[in-house]
Amino acid sequence: MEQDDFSPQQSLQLIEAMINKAKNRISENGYLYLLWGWVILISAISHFVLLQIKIISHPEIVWFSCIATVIFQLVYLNRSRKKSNVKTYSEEIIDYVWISFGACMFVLSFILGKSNSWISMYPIVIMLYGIPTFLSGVIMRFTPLKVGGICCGILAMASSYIHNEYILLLLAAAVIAAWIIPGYILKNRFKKLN
Amino acid sequence: MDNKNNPLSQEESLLLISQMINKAKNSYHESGIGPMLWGTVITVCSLVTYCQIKFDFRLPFDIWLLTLFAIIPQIILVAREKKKSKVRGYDDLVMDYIWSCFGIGIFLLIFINANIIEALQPVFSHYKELTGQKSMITYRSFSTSFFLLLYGFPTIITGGCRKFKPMLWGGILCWICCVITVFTPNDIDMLLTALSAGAAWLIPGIILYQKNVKGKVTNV
Repeated sequence: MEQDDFSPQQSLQLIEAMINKAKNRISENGYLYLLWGWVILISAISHFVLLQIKIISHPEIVWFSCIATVIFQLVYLNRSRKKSNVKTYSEEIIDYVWISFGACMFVLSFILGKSNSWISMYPIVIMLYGIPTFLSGVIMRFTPLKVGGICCGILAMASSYIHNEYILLLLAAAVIAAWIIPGYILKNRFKKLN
Repeated sequence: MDNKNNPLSQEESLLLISQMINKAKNSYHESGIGPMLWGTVITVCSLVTYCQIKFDFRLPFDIWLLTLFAIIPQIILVAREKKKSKVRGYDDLVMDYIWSCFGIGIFLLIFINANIIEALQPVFSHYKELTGQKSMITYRSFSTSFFLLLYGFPTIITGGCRKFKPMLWGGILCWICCVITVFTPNDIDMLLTALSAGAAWLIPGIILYQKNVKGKVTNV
């Protein structure tokens, strides 16, 4: 290592530069927020409409779209991992948050399937949507995601009072606030920066 | 400090940075006191509840109220740590948010559970009137699973981000116990909750505390 002397100010400038570099490297284009936002929104609205018009006996079948989306997401992440370079610490934390959330949803589906406590599903799901969304907003310092996370918390409380199919409309509102609106803002920001 | 008269070599700069990082590491989460406090409280509450179910007795108060009282020492600990440490790292802030979200999540879960139990009560009462038997499905028997699911969430994130395996494994154990509780009666659920809290918070907390005491907190 060269013995170039750094003044404390230069050291701090170097650190600041590295931090700024890391900050700008949050390469979030909003793609996955939009993907999941639209999949959940369309599924929730379809489920609601099918319950209203009663043309099929198992309208909950629409939620199988999530399994297809998980497969698509795994392929997408695998491809983008090959393209990307080194991950920043922030990106690493966000990965942990969303992987834990995904595993959490998987375990939750199992519990609800076994316990037949579907009545509690939507409030808990909306609450769980809010936690990683808010945390991602904090980590990325991105206010729309923070607001989306808070909206999910409020909608989760409100949905615990609704015990019919109208709860699906609250789920739809939650994904619009948490993922679709922030997703489009991220997409636009990413387009401008690149 | 006269900045201009104290030039630092690259090694000295890196040493200064690493000292600052280590100083920041001695935070609330890493001193192990917080995890020990909550690990102990949840383990004690679960074991006492287990004894109440198993030996059919009732304490004059709800033992889970201890969790409310535990918030007071936690606030004092956090305030003291904030005063002590001048340098607070970015990940300290993120960890604060992760655990605050967990706290709010627990509050929301209690709120949701209370509303759903209230909504389901007439259904169970009606079932009992019609059949003369207690309903086989009670919502309360599954609420432990939801709590364990939530316990695991921030524990796994913290363990993963800080590369602290005891906490990571503790969080995973919470989820394994969460799945098991779906099949077990209430008393066993409480034993599994005690086991989860012990593994996720109490044991990692003790490990962190001992490392801190010995001054060996380096790579956690």
